Amino acid sequence: MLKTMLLGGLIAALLGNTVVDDPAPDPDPGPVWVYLVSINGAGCQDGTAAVRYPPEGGVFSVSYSGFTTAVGIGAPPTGARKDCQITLDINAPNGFAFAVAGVRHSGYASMAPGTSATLRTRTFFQNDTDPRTFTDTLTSPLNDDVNLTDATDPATPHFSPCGYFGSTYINMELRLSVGTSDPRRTSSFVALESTIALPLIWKRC
Amino acid sequence: MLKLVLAGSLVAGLLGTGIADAPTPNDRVVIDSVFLNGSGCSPGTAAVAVSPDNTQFIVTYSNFMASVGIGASPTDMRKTCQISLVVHPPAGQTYALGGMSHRGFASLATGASAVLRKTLYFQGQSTSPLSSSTFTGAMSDDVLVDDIPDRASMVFAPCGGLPTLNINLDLRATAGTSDTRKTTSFIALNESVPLSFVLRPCPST
Repeated sequence: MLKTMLLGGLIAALLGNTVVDDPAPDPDPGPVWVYLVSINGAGCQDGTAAVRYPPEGGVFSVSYSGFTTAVGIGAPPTGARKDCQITLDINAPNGFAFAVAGVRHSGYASMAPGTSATLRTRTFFQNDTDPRTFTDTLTSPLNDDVNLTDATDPATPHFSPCGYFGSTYINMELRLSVGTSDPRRTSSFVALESTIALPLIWKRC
Repeated sequence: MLKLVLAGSLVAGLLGTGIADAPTPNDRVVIDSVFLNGSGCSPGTAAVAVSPDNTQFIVTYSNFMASVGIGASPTDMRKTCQISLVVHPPAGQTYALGGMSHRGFASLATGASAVLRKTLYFQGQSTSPLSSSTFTGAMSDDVLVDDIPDRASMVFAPCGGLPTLNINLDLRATAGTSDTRKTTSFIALNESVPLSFVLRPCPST
């Protein structure tokens, strides 16, 4: 945990640069502190997820080694669903509010005909009555890399309170359904390999 | 687990919002520490994230799962977690937990059932009435339990101390009439979040 926290510190130290370099018309809040407080779940158990600052931009990226759902031959009965909850503390400067712009996922899917998969991402703040949910669906047959982008509708970002200094939560859930496939004869899996949080959207209050 | 809590404190300390530095607000409680213990939240499988303003926390579990049937050992049918909280109410007031939200997933074969039992008590005081939520198969879906006690059954901290609040979660899967040689049934909790803290004035001395 301490290790991920330090990585969180590294993210914080570097994030200011992206904000400055970002050519988007958003107001510039200056350097922003982002701390990774915890990352945990069946899909990102201790020792299976690594968090870093993405050189290609964004708030943070996570790579997973165990965020894999599987059904069919060899799959455990509880293997059809995995989740991961990330808690970040983001300190909005006075006079600014931010919104989570979205996330980009990559992975690999090997899905027998008849199976289907969904990846649901929820983002919310403390005591949030209006969490945002993105749902991606994968249809079979499929045997390929998977790249999914869940971007907030730029017309309706879900902003934090002004000057928010609280927790921001990102929750991901991956499910794989047997559907009409024959689990005694086939085996299917979906492996989520990384998630990148896109650069935050800022507004002046 | 201590490590996780310390990491949380370190975050707060770095940002200058530790409890020692911040004046105690008079309209809400301040969370001092959160500890976990139990077969469903053993070290390395559960994480606590306290918000930077110390008014909210989230517990995430990666292996809080009760299961019966194929692949389950006899002791897997029941898992527990005790969340121990130390909370500072505003001066001259006492508090009760006004509710807690638990999120998870259940996959239950026809005839099987699962139950989440919740009790809480302040160290040295009597235990709250048992509240339980039951799920019956066949189902395979998200589980959301918003556990909100009515005012009369809320358990308030005794005035004039800082007793530990213990929240006991007991998760059970029951085979019932399902065929455990052919099916697996399980319920997993992913996260627990307090919904509110209710304040009450202490008698003046």
